[in-house]
Amino acid sequence: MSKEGKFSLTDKIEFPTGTLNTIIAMYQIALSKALGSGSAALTQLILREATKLADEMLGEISFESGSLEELDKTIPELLKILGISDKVEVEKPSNGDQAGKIYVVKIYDSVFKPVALLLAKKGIKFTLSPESFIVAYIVQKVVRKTNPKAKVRIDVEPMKSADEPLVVKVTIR
Amino acid sequence: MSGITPIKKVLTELSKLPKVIGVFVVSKEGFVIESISSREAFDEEALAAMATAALGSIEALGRELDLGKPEIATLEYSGAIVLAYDLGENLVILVAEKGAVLGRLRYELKKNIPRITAAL
Repeated sequence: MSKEGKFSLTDKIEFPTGTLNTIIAMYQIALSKALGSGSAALTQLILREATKLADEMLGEISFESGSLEELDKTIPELLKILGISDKVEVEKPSNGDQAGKIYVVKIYDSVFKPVALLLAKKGIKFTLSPESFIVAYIVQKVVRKTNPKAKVRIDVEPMKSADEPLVVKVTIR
Repeated sequence: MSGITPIKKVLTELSKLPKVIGVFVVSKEGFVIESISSREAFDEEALAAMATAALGSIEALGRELDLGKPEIATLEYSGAIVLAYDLGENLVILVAEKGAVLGRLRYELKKNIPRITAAL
């Protein structure tokens, strides 16, 4: 059981993913409608504000974020632990803590894939993609070990078909 | 000043207008591109993200009511005036004390927009 006001990775209930995806899609559609092009800016705020929550959650399972060189292993491992995807590929750049370097993360069969497909059909940018936040969070956390002022920019490519992976690009700034 | 970039030069000039607290160029992704601020406590990252979201909301209102695109947003708070000018992919944000002459700020900001655009 979770303590009041605390999230825990041990919280588990039967919950249709369709319900969760519908809620995420509704939020994203409303956010895009209300903020227009400004919705992309919220990504930075969420990353900043949510870091503590994410740290607490991952601290609970003693997840080690590892080093730059290990990101191609830690990102897939984390997304698997969180139950988001079992198959993730990471293309990591050399000197990956430097500005301009891009990490390309391909997430196959994400539980949130239906949302990405629906939004792509509607021409709406998936700025609230949970996968992208997790990926950006872990990349930023690791990169800041050697480059403390580094920030990250997230780009989620629109999904064209269900056969493709969700592609998240994280650029170091 | 030697080595000053063209964009910094324009922002510095704007920041010297009476009662101006800060001038910022931010991307619509919420990053600060360039800034001049006399208030150290300013959280520039928050300002970038929130101002972009606010202008996005104003843009959405214009679209919903078929009013066209916003060019300049003027926000009057109890303690300050905020002007936000839409440059497409970026924004210019000017923050001034409450007693600043709004007309002059708007005039000077609009007048310098071509220089800012050219410098980006």
